Amino acid sequence: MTLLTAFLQHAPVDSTLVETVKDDGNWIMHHIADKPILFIPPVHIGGVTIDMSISAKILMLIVSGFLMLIIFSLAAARNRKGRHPKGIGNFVEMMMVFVRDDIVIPSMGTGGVRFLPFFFTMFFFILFINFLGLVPGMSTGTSSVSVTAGLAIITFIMTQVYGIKHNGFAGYFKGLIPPGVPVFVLPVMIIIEFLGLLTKPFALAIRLFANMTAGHIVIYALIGLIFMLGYVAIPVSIAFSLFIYVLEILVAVLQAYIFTMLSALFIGMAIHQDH
Amino acid sequence: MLFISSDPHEKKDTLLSVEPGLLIWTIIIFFLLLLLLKKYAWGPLLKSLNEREQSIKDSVEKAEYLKQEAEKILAQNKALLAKADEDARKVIAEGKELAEKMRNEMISKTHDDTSRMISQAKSEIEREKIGALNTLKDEIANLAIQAAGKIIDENLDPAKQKKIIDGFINKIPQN
Repeated sequence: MTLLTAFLQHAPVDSTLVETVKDDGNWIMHHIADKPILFIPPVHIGGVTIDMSISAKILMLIVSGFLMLIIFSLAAARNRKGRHPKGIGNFVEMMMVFVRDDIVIPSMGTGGVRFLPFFFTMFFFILFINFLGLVPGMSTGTSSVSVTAGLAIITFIMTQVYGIKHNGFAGYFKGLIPPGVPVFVLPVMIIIEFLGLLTKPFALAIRLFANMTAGHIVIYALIGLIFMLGYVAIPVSIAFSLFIYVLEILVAVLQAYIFTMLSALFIGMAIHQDH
Repeated sequence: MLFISSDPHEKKDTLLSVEPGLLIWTIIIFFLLLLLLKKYAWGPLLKSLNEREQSIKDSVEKAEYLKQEAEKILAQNKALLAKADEDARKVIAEGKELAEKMRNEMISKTHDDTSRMISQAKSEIEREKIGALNTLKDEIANLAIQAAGKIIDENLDPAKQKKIIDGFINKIPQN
């Protein structure tokens, strides 16, 4: 029911809306798309105008950030007090141990421990944005390809920076090409490996974006059925929406896990190129 | 891609168009968050987590060590107990042997003493008997001399007479 009310908040039921729904599918886009909230003057860099206004999705990121700050600093304060963590401190610690033992260390080895704050931030940031998007009336930050591209670029930068830091500038790019490759294949290999560098973050961004958007679109489409078929469709629509909604909870956690794990894997591979 | 608007002027509504502003905001927010969380949350949380894990590891190791120590001490105690048992048994055996020896010695000594005492007593009796007999002989001789003197009168030489009587008495069997 909350879903439906949320939907109704966005779209008050009137005859024109029903007409729009029936005419084309753009109303879904309207709900998925970003909405400007606070105007900030655009920045001009080399003829390119960048709109820096705070939009709904940026607001969601900021809200997630504040929630994280509150929850995790609270957990830190709680855990500092007693020797035995309980409640929120215990839960946060359990999640941290999960990220450490099931994501970072299997992907990077024990050397990944010094990147833990980075991966904690990445995992919980994506998780919080995903979950906030499931709250009715809120927007999903990660269902914008710009946000996921931003996150993927962070991983890309970390990969290159730590790869170069560990292996040296020349060593890093040399190490990208597997050893023992015949000379005449080298030009092809260089192009492939260079493209591989770029496709990794690209895949990261698209995977997260697509997974987080798809569920929402399906829910909107299912609810749209009510407007197209009339009240007969209500039980089926709501049942299926609920199912997709529950599935989205799973996907929200899964995608945060996958994104963090792949980031850890890429950074780990850049540092230890010999495998 | 299905939902991408067909209207080319409506740029804002396309799903796959990257907005640089949103992208830059994401990166800025992420790194600000990383900085703040590292200082106020991950640092203290990881510290307490590591400290606790270390203390648990230490406790387990200590318990393991103590267990080994206890087992070692138990083994030592067992060995000591066995040795003490052995010693006790040896002491008892030695004691028994000694007691046996002493008993035998005492028995033989007592036996010797007794036989010596018996023989001493026997010889003493013999000597007393001889002395008594001698005294008796003298007595008898004197009595006989006195009787004979009274009978034969005074001209008899007592010394000569005593010699004759002694010879006579000696002829009498000892018992």
